[in-house]
Amino acid sequence: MGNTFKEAVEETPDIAKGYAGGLRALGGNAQVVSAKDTRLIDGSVDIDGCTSTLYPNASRWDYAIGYDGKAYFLEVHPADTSNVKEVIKKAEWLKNWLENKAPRLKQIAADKAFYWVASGRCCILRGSVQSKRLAQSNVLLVNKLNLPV
Amino acid sequence: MNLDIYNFGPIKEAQIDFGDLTFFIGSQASGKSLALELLKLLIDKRHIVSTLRNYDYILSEVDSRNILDWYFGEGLHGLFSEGTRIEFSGKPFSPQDLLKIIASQERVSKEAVFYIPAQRILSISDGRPKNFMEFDVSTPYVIRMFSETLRIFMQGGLGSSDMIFPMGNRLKGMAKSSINETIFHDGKVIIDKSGEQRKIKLEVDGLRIPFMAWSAGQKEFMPLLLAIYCLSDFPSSVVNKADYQWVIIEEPEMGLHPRAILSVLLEIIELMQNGYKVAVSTHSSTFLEFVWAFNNICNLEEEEFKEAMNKLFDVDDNSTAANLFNGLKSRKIKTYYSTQHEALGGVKFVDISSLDAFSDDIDISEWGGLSSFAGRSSEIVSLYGR
Repeated sequence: MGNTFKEAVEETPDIAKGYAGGLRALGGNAQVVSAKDTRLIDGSVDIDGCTSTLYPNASRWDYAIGYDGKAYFLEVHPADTSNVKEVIKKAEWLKNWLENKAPRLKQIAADKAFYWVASGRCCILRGSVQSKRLAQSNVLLVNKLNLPV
Repeated sequence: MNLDIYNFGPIKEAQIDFGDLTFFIGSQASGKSLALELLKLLIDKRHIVSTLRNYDYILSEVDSRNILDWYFGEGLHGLFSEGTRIEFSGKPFSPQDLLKIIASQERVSKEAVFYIPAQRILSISDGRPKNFMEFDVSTPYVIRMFSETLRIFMQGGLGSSDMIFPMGNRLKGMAKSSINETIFHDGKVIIDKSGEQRKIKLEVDGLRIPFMAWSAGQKEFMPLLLAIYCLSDFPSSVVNKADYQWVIIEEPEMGLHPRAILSVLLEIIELMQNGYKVAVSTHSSTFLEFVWAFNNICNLEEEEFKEAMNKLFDVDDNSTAANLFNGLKSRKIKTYYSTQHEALGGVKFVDISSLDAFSDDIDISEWGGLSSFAGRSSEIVSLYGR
C-alpha cells in the first residue's frame, strides 16, 4: 500500500524535498506527539524550515504529520496570552498555503483543526476569550498531540 | 417578534428581537426578570385578568395601580412612569389596556406563556405545590401562577403512578439517564402518602428524604422537572401543553453542576424543536457556549452540522436522541445583555448574539462579562506565573 502522506508532500513543490520518515522532521519536538500505533505514522515534514527562504517574512506554521493516511498540522510554540495573535496569524498563513500551494495535503487533512502544543507552560485558560479566538480560527490548544485525534 | 421597552423601572432602553430561543444575561437586578414578566403580561393579559378575578382580587376599572401590583408584586405599579413606552410586535401597550380588559368582564381560560420563575423553589418549599392563594400579594403573579399550575398538574396530570422520577412515559431516554446520573444518582422521586398531605420525597436506599433535606441542586431542579413534564411528551388532561406558545425559564442552572446544566440545555432545545418560543435568563456560561458553537457551525451542511452537535453533546449518531438536532441549524438563537448604561442613567439591553470572540465590543467578545475572568486569569498567569 502506498504512502499517501509521502506522495502528498512530494507533490507539493514548496516542501517536496522535506519528507522525513517517522517523526524525524520534528527533531526534539517529537516528544509532544504520541501515536496509538507507531507503525501507522506515515512521516512528517518541517513546513517552517522548508519554506523559510520562500516566505522569509511570513508567519509560517511548523509541521505536518502523516498518520494512517491522514495529515495533522502541529505548531509547537510558547503559550502565553501574548502568543495568541501570532499563532492565529500562523494558522491563517497555513490555511492560505494549503489552499494555494498544498492542495494534496489539504485533501488528506484529518479535520479542520490545527493543533498547538505549548512549549513550556500553558497560560491560556479554557473558556477565556483568547481560547475562543483560537477556536474560531480552528486552532486547538492541546497538552499533547495524541494520534489519531 | 419585537419587544421595545423605554423607561420601565430600571430599564431605560430595550429593543428585543426574539429568536426561536433567546438568552438574557446580565448582573442581578438588571431588569431581565422585569422584561420577561412584562412579556407575559403583554401576551397573557386577558388570562391574567381572568385569573385574578377568579380569585376575587379587587380590580379597579379606572386605576391600573392595583392590577399592576397584583401582577408585578406589591408597590411595583411604580415601574410605569410618564415616560414609559412599550411596544410588542409593533402594537403599543399601556396600563390603560388592562383597564379596558377589566371593564369587558371577559373570561379567558387559556394562557400562552408558561413561565418558570427563578424563585420556583418557593412553589414547593414544603414538598407540595402551593395553591395560588397561599401566597401574599407581595409575591409576583408568575410565581403564584407557576405554583398553581404545578399543583393542578400534580393532582391530575401524573396519572395513577406515585413515581415522579424516573417515569416510564416521560422524558427521552438520553435526558432521563443524564438527569439520573447528574442529579438524582439512582434516587427515586416519589409522592409519599403516609402523612396528612401528599408530599414529594426522594427515596434512596429505603430512606424517604423530605424535600427540604434534599441537596440545593435537587430542590432547585424538581419544580423545573415538573414544568418540563407539563410541556413535553405525554399529554396531560389538566395542563394542556398545546395551549402554550412561549416558555420562559429564569436561571435554569440554579444549583446545578455544569454536567446537569447540559441535561437542562437538551430539554430547552427540545422545547424549541417542539415549536415553543423559548426565552431564558441565565448567569451560566454553559448556555452561551452552546450558542457560540451553534453560531460557528450553523453554516455547515445539515448532516455535518448534526454530526458536530452529536459530538458536542456526546450523543450517538445512530441513536433516536440524535433526531433532536434535525433542522436545528435553521433556528434563530439570540442573546441579549442587560447592562448599566451611564449616558442613559439606567439599564440598556444590548444585542450580543454573535458572541464573536474577535469583536471590538467587549460586551460581545467577553459575553457580557461571563468570560472576562477566565481571560484575565490567563493574562495574569502569563504575566506573573512561574
